Amino acid sequence: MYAYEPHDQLLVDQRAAQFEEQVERRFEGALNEDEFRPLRLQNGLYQELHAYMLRINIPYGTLSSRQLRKLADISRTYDKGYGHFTTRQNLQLNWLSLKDAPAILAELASVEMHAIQSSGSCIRNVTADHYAGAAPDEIDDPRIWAEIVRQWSTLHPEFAFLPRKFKIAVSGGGNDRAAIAVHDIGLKLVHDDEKQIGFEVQVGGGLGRTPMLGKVIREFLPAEDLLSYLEAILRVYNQLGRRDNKYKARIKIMVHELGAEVVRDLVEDEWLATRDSALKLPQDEITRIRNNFLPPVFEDVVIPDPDHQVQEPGFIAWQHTNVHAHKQPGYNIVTVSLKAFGIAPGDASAEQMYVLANLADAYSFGEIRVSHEQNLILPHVRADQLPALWQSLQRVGLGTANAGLATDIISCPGMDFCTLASARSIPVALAITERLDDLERLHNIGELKIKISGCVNACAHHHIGHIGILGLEKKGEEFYQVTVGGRADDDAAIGEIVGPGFAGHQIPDVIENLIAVYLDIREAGERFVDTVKRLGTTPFKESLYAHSQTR
Amino acid sequence: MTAQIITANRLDTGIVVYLSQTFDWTVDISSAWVLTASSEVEDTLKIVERAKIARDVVGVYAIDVDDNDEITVPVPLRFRERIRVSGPTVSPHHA
Repeated sequence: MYAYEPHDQLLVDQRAAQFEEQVERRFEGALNEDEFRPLRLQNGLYQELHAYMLRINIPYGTLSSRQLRKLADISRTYDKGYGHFTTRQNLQLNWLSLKDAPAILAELASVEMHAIQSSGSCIRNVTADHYAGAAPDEIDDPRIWAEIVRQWSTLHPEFAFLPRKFKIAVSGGGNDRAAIAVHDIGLKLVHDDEKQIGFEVQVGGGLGRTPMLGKVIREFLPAEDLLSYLEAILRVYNQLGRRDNKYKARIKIMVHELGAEVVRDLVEDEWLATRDSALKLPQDEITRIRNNFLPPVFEDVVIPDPDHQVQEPGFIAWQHTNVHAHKQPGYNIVTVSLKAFGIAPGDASAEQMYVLANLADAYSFGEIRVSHEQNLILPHVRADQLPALWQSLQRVGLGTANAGLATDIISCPGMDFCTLASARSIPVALAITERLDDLERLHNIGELKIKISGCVNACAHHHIGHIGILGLEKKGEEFYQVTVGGRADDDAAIGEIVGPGFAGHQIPDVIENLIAVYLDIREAGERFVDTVKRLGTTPFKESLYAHSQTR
Repeated sequence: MTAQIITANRLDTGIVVYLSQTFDWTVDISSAWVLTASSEVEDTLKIVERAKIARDVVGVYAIDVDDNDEITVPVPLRFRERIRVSGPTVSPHHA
């Protein structure tokens, strides 16, 4: 877990106090909205359709039980008693008043949290693999490096007014669970030939209206050079990124227009100026930060004999999908699904947050993670305590056995809340969940990632959904464009649009149709996305437009 | 022209409000002042911008509404604005 130094605490305390003054001046009329808007956005406070929304950073998705309790307190005291976990590993509160915002920032500061840089053309919350520190396949704990990037990027004066927002993700080096290929910079921990730790650096990935996968511009960056190299990339982008057109301002457009080779040369040239500067990471500083992320003291656990464990089908199904291998024998990683039937994807009530904080203390060393797939993770759970944990989760609606399955849908808030949205997304997610609400069938279908965005900004990552759904508006009516074959793993791909869009009420039939094709043509052991890779999208398109009435 | 009403969000709470004929902000769309001439809309927006009540809100704009004789409450033509009137279409299950 990260630990604030006195200067970190001072910074967030001062920011909360400054914002209190700014809000007072806004109410007094000393600041007009044009003057005030950038100040509130710098603190993550947006005006949405029905109220103010606060986007709270959860650094690389890492939460302590104490922090989760505080988030529950805040949602209960100032909001409607729930919060929405996002694909950027953040929490959004949807029903806030401006007058309460300064008090909320002060409460967040009291548990080493804030909302700084959760909006605007700056470096946003750094995201990381949600299994960090627990995954058996990781080369190193990505949180250490994400924390170093967080410290460097927080209020970095040179990068406060970039051409556009900037997102950095860090993968631990095994399977990519952080979707690094669709970030402005994706960092993958790797070893060189001498087993030294470093990074493969990808640049220019992103979704939105122009989806692109990142390009590798450096195969191996020594770890100590991380910040100087990032600084070089950001400097090149800050100078050459387009400021004439908001829709062409992300670094992906710069990389696309100049070409990855040219960008690499420019970055390497710039790096000559920064490489041996104060940005070179001292080993003792890396060690100091590493010490904040040391693994907990694991116990020797006698791994339970499966024949003598709980035989309840619900538990077995949950264990199959929501329990994952851990690097420590006798321990598991547990995905707590926020995709229960009838619940908006990513939503958690205050009560659920309190219970989960207690369960984290009881079963997972007080640690919780937020995944970019809008679930919560208990990273270190003893294998012999899984049945007890599952029963406790079940009691508060958190025991759904669907992690990675077709009802584990990612959805943005859509037009029900968001001012940018063109169409609703949550009702579409709920309709699909209702249609597929059969656990045995879901498990038979297997891994299937469905992602639904309510506009081209693609907050729900629909381009990299195995099935992606994009909500649009035409002549005042919602309609939905469907893509197939997207993925965010090591074989990342942008999904292909299958054809004309559909009305919202048709989407459950569309999903059924695509699943039926897959079940019909899949080979043994093949996931949906494997079948699409083997055969392309043609069989799916043919079936879809043969049977569905399109708009 | 299509009938229009003036809407905004309250500065303090962020909630949706409409301009009434008495030049107050109301949460009740049935009390909204329905304007039927484009010059009337432009003039009203200008007056609101300079008036003291502008301080209480953010994002003032006019929206098209259906205001035929059989409708007693103005109904926004755009779906987005209808969601602003009635709230999210999904039940706030956690609220």
